[in-house]
Amino acid sequence: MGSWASRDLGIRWSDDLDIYWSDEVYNIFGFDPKTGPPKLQDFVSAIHPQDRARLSEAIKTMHEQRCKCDLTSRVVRPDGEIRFVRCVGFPMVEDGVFQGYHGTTMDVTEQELLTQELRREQAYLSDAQSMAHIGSWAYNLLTGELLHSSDENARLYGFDPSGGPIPAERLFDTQHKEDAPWVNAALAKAAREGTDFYLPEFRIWHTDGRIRFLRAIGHRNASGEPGEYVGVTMDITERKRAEEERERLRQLESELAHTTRVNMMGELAAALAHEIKQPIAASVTSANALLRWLAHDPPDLERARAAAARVDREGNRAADIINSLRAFYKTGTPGERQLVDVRGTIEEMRVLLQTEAARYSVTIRTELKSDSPDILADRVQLQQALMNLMLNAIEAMREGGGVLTISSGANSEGHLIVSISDTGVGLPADGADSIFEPFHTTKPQGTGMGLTITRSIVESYGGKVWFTANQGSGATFHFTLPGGAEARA
Amino acid sequence: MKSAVVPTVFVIDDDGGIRQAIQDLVESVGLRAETFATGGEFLKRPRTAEPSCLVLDVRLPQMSGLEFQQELAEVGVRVPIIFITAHGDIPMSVKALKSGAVEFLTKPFRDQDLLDAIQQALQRDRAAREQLAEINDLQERYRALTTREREVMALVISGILNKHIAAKIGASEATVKIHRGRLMEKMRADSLIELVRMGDKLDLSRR
Repeated sequence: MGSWASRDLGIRWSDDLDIYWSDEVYNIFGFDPKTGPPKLQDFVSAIHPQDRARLSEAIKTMHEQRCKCDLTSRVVRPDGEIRFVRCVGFPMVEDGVFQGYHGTTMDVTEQELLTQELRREQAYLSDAQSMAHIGSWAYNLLTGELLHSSDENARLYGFDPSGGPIPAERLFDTQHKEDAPWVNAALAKAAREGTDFYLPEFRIWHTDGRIRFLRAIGHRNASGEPGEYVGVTMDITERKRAEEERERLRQLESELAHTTRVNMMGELAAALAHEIKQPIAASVTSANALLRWLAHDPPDLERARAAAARVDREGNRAADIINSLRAFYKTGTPGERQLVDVRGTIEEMRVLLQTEAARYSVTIRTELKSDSPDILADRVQLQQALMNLMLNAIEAMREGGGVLTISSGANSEGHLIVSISDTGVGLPADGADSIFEPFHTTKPQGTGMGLTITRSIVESYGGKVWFTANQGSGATFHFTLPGGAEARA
Repeated sequence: MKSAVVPTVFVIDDDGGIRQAIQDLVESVGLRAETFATGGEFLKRPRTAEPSCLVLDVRLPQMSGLEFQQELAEVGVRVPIIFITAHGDIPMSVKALKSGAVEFLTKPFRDQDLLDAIQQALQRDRAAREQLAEINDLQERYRALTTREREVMALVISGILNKHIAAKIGASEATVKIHRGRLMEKMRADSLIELVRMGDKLDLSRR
């Protein structure tokens, strides 16, 4: 900071104004002190052209009105460097007589650049807040004083920020009646205990008359006054609507998938019942006829024998139908078996059931060892077996979530072994053996065919399926499938 | 029993095992049975003179048993029907019974239920056939009447006195009496009441 003085300014207009500069002022302007104080003309020439008129005007005003001045102008130094220079001047009065001016000159370039930077930052922040619908604020919970409220913070409630700061009471007036009690209680608790607070979702009446959903996070400002908090408030209305919509779609999707599954099983069961009832009816009726032939007097043994043969035949036919149904799961049509990338298939199923798992807060983990053999199988059947076991595992954790772990590897015989483990409710102690029986279900809407089909598929490949209880909670289902080479043989 | 003819039970079911079993059961109680895999086969067979009934499976390859019931009605084949099905539901059985089925049984059924239904159906057919035979007989007698006799018969059964009939047809009361005596004889009616009943059966009041 340098100082200057002028004996003529305000008294007599001349080109040099009888001015004095301290060395620092010369330094600031990049002038040589040896050449003496600059003429007014040289001085003005050193000012940036855009600021020149303003400065000339200010000097003139000082001269005419003898008022004080404080002006920042850009100075272009002889070497071309631009500096922001602040000039402050005071009229000197001694014993009521005006004696000219004195003042200070300082280089405020760093400060000015910082201020500009700050202004830019503020503008960016304000833009960002406006785009993200996030407002920032500082508020004293104890005194109720709103220390800071960003423009966006006012806009969240529908207020126009250009009209100056919005009083805290007006913001609080927008609270939804049903949310006000818990919001105020949470704030009071934070203020009492000096802890941070989080209001995940509360409703306000926007000035447009519609309800908005807001979320606020408040952080206790430890360096501030007691009760002082800084924080942000964001408008989550859109997000909430989108979430609701997504949830609704998910619900529909899930219901649809379940309905399809139930319907498919229902139709399968009905078709099966019809096919099996035919030979059973024929067998029963033949047995009835047989008894009637025997009741003849004398008994008609010839006809009775023929009827007995039909009882036998039709009974076997019923069994054949059931067997052919198992065969349906066993092989499909030949040629559908191909070398299946087991680890890839498991990963696929994980992706497929991710949404379903997330709904019940279930995390799916995989531990797929590199020695997991690929197997010769019908890919769809393998998917079906995996899906049934995974859905059961998710089902077991639907209250409270958990972790579903699928691991794969090779057993001592080199066969593929897959284990699906849950941390759910586990299996009932009694009757656990009957879970593979057809139509056995513990679920209100279960078909009771999932495990039956899974076992049928696994056994058709010469594999085995079983379960073990976990040490902590839940159960693990395992199945083995002979490796590719063996299955081919 | 009125005649020695053995009634026939027709069976239509696409399942050979069921056909054989029902045929055997029916024969074990001394009735005749004929089986068909489709409704079409049954329609090709000439109609029988003896009482008969039809045991019909609801699920047939080409058309359902219920549709076949409709078709029989359309082509004028009147045979009492007993439906059998491996998965019947209530609406289906209600529909069948409303359309005149004797019984609706689900497989596997009790043999006695089927045999009872068959007896009931044959009884119904027998009654229908007797009624039909009587009507045929009456129609034959009626055809033997002269135009004038038919005219007089219509007026007699509508309860008009002889002298009014005479006035109506422009003849003497004595002539009416002769016509009346002759038509009673030709129709083999012993009394006016019997003649009225015959008129009902011939549906004369509607002509």
